[in-house]
Amino acid sequence: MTCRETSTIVAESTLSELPLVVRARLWLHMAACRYCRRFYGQVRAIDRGVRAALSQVGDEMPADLMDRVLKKMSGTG
Amino acid sequence: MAPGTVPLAALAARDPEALRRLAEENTARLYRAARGMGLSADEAEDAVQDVFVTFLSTLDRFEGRSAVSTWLYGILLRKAQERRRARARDQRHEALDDDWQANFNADGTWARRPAAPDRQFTSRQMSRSVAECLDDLSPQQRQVFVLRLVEELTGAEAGNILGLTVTHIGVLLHRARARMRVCLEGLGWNTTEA
Repeated sequence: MTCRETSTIVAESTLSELPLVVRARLWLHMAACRYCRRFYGQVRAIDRGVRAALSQVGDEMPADLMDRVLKKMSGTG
Repeated sequence: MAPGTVPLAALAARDPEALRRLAEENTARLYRAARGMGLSADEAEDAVQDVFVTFLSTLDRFEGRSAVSTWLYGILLRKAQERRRARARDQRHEALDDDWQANFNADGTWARRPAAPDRQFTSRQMSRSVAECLDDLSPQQRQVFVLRLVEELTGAEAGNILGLTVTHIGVLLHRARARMRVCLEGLGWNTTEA
């Protein structure tokens, strides 16, 4: 497995979802390749940042939105 | 009763308890997803309300083959797309594929070697920069981030909602992450060895 193949799989997926045999090949390559380990670390850092940013953006949901949803649903049909 | 098991017959009859449970289980998640997809706060509020109304009006078409929450996400996605037509931006991001290939030598080893973790870039800088870079993503890339990273759906579940293959979801996730990496580097995050 080359660095290109390893990092492409890392970038396209969530490692925990991959078949065991693919994960094993990735870990084997990364154990010997510091650059792919670094790339994997960067992907994880990006994911953490994105997850935090996108979760926060929905935290300010108006308190009455659920009531409005209920009212709107009750008025349909 | 377990989450996600609101009886469809009760919803069809507009049973107040069933409607309340449907709203309780899904309003916050849909609002967060709508904001994550790039809708403004006002647009997200409108879209979430529309999603529930559309769901009830199309309940007879829901065959129960997917979870109610997945069906609701699908409706939300179409609402979001109605509000944000940006195919030109999606096409612009295709150019990233060439950038990605330029990272490697012909034998598949790194040409632009990833740098060691950047300790100089503070977590506050990272948060600010990530927020800025997210604005530069296409709507579809943001949708994939929301579904895969925030809602933690599998590639297959995200594909089901977006009407794409698992492979295409992987490509979009790759492009979104690569785009973020390039953008963050432009804002001072050291990603490549000097």
